[in-house]
Amino acid sequence: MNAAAASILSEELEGQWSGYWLDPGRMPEAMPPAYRPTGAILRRVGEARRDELVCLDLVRVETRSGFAWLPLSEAGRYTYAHSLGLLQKEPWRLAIWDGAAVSLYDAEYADALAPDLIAPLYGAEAQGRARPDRPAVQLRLRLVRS
Amino acid sequence: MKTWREAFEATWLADKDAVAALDGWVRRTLAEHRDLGDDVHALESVAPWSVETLARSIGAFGDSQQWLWCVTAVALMQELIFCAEGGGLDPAGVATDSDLARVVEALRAIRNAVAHPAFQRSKGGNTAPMIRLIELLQIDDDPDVTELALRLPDAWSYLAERPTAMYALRNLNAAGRLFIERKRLLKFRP
Repeated sequence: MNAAAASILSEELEGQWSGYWLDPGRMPEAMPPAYRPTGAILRRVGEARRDELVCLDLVRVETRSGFAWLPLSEAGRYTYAHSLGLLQKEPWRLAIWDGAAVSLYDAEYADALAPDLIAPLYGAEAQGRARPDRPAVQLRLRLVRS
Repeated sequence: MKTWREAFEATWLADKDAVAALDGWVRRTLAEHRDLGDDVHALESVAPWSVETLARSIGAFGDSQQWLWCVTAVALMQELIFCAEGGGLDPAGVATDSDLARVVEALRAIRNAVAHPAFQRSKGGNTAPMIRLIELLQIDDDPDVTELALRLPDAWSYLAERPTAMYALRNLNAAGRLFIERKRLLKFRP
């Protein structure tokens, strides 16, 4: 995506789940943090399962007009704490809050996805936000607590 | 929690081949600015800092928990590598790769915050470096960094803590890897 396109993005993708990454050993607080989500994922179009799913890994990045969530590319895996940790086989988890209830997911890498396969699985908007020259990172999430 | 040494050993800064490849590229690039590219002796003394010495310093400062010096060494390293092509104060050759551009921007924000400590108030369209860095720390996904970003507005001196050094090291590792790949200086082992 070029800079001009990035400048007019809404911050979130429609349908994304936003949450908080937890490094190894860290437990979620009793209530959701007061600060902005630090992680997000996008489920495949039509995905109904909530206990185990393959999804796009989204990262919040700065654009010319603010911030927006974009699919993480393979080139960016060393940039973020959770994606670097997962590369090093660390047990990172994603906590997703719904009111006061939290769903806790174990995360691991799934197969990366070629850019032109993003739209059929995740929608055109997701592909439009992804790097056109690098595979997108997919995660496999497993619900461990809800 | 990962120790500093464990985190450091997993980066290109602990990879002799990667450090040597970048060190050589930086020396040659700097020498060419002064038409010294063919002088093998000049390559040895072309600049007061080198990638090899800074890589050692970053590791050692972290080992001794001198976090602010550690971050300062990361800031010097990013300038040495990413400003080498331009031969000045601005990075060159990174804008065309969005992932590389983002991490270099984070590293520049770190540099400005540690190297311009008297710059306290935004003026003339320039955001105070610490304010800028706090913005970037707030969107990080490391819980320790996010918690630091919550405390920093009240006391900028907290920048001298471990999470800043871990954040700086992670960004320098990501940037260096992408840069080495982009310049085809080395093929990283999977």
